[in-house]
Amino acid sequence: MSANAMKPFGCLVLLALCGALGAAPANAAEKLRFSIPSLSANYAPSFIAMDKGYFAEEGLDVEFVNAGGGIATPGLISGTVEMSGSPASALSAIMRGAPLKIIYTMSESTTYQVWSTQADIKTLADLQGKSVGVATRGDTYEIALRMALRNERLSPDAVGYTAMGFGSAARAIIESKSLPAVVLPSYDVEQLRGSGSLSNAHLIADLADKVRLPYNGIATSDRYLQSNPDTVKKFLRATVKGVAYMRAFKDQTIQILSKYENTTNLRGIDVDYTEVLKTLTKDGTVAEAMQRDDMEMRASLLKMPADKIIPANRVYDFAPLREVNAALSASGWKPTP
Amino acid sequence: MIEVCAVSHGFVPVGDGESVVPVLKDISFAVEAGSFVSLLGPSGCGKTTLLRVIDGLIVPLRGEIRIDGAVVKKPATDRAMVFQEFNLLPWRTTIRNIEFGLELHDVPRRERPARARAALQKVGLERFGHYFPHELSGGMKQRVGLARALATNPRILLMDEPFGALDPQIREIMQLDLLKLLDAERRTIVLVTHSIDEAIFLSDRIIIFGANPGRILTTIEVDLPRPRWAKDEEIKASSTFIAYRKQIWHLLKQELQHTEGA
Amino acid sequence: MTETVKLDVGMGLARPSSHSVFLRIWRSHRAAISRLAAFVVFFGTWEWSVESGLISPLFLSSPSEIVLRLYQVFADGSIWQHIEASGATAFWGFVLSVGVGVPVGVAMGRSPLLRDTLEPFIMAIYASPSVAFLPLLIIWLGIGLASKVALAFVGGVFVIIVNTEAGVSSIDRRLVETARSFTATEAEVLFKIVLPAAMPFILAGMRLAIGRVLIMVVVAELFASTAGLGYLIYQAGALYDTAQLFVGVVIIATAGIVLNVFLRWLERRVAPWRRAERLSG
Repeated sequence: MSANAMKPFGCLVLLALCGALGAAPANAAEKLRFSIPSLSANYAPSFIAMDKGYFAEEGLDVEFVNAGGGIATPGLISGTVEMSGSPASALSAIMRGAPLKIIYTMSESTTYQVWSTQADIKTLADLQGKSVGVATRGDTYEIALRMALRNERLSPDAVGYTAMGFGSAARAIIESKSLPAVVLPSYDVEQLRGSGSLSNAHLIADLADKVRLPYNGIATSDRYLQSNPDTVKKFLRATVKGVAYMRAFKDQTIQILSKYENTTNLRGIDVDYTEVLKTLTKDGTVAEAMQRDDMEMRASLLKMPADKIIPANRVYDFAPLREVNAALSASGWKPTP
Repeated sequence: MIEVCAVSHGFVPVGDGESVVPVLKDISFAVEAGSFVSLLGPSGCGKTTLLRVIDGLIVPLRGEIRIDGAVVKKPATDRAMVFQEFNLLPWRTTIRNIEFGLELHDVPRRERPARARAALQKVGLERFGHYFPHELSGGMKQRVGLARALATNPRILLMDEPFGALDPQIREIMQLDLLKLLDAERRTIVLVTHSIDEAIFLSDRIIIFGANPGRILTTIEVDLPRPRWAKDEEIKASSTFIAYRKQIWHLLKQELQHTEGA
Repeated sequence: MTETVKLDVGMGLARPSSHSVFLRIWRSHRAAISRLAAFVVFFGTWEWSVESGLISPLFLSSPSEIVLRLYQVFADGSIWQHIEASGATAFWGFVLSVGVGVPVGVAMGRSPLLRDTLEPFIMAIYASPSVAFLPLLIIWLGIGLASKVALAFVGGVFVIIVNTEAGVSSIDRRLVETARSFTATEAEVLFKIVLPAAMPFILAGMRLAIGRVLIMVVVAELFASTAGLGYLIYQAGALYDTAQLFVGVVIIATAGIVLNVFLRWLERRVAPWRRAERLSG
């Protein structure tokens, strides 16, 4: 019931270089901003933490900001955003030397599906030499598809990755069937199916089972980690509680999602919830092997030679998270509806 | 021969659809072929409008113009106009400005340059063919305007205060040059002017207008010998000239005081 | 024997020839020297602020990096497909803007009724953010050249209409009357008076339209492109390849400058009298 409202897209406040670096006075609630790129079940734990007061319990005054990685990552670096829900974008920056860290990984696979509008494209192999729509170049859509192709022993570069953007332009491209194939998260698939935009399209591949890669989570800056380590742990703890709640109480989660996404399409939310649940990591961390695999795939995209790839421990820092997990399970905390 | 037959004209002021402000009231006179007639009068007497009616640019509300018996409905190739503000096309050179009239009269392309150059010579500007109007003085620009009109070889030349925008000395020189030029040719000239002296010096006949509404006050025949350009100073100092001027000025003074006082 | 006094052409004053060389060079090339100094200061500061780490190379490349990358993309020829793609869009968008904008502007300038009727619509679209039309255009025209040219067209045509209309309605009516007195038809008035008189305005409109068309080309390549300078910029941004991003920006900016300079030159050639008008007052 918090009064913190979602800022409108493209909030220009983020780009103002007046970074508020310092923490708020210790006795007052600590303010921080968390960027969320889209409204979907992927961010249910954050919505739950807000709704059930987990943030408030920690003394955190969290403000959700509606922004994608393209804005959130510079925001992290300049300090206008303390936490970002687009770790993949931060990862690209980190690999180029940005002083950021990924401190939580929400999922280890995606809910992505590959759909085609052309009858002669039935499998991933048929995609070779064709253009496939992703949101932006180098994003998780592209990485996931590349991995899928690689796993099928197809060349990831045999496909033309075309940026469609988000929102109305993407819908326009899909509806006008201008591209032979597109990669979509299952939530969008539900919506488009409902509006009839996918009437002449068919599913080629469900990437949820085919590929495993770190997906969704939380990133923050080195500077914030060093100056506000306790705040970071509080934020993580609230998030972990949110995940536990999400696992435990499906119906209530769906209600909360419906409120925060401002939609009454409960069936769509249900499907989204179910799909996302399948992808969640056990404890918010992913194995180093998976980290490296993902980074190598990105490096080939960034045209970075293999020996220039920075070690994974310069990218991921799960130490705060591990402390939080240990303390929480020791305390025996259980979520209540 | 030009016949002006009971021409009346006015305009409808913006916003008032009903009333008509009269500009010319019942104007009738004739101009003999080959003669030089001046229309003289104060501002607002409609003489400029009348000149345009004669040319065919304006269709009068009442009455008509006949030229050699044929009713005038729109501009034609037998007449040409010279304007007070010269109205040269700024993006064309002098020679191309002179060709402008020839182009519009559909003179074949081959003939145009020669005819334009001849007209240019007549007004004494042979060296300035490739200048642009903004590079010429006022007097020179008006000569070009004159050349443009003459190049089309019109039987009738209509001149709307042609020297009004020039300073007085240049004005008098231009008057002399005009007479010299026209001496060799037989054209009918109708000249609109403010200047009493100019009207007397140039014309065979002066039609004097009153204002509000525009109407003819009287007509004066000018009985001065031609050619007048050779002995201009003598003529302007002569008693006949002075008498004409006195007569016209009295008439106009009365008319002006009447309208100013009213 | 007459004495000749040596005059300094620039100053109109007699000057002893013992003055230093530097002072003389300065006086006769003041503008060029100060411009050069400004350049050096600007680029020097830019280069230093990135090299020293003041600004992260993630978000700004130094001039030296940009120049190096420019050289690379031209040397390996990879840049040409992008220049061609954006160039084609810009060319057709501009040509269509002029082809539609000038006649519409002329018609509106000649007919007050038409102008009053169309003006609110034109103003409304002119003031709208053209980006908003892109999804609509994609639905109608697909994601190929057509929708991009359409967006570039939308960007440029209204500037041309507005400027052409201003030029046509500001022509000296006396010139039209003069033409009529020489028996000109409506068509002759249009081609011999209206268009030549309005040409400086039309060229000014074209100069402004070029900038807007180029911007729209970049915007149009935001979605569903596989080539073009805008596409290059967005891709580079997503992959944090900042040098590449600036290469795209620099090429587009250069194109804009060159075309602008060319059109200004054309304006001067076509309308020398307007400068004289303004000077003499």
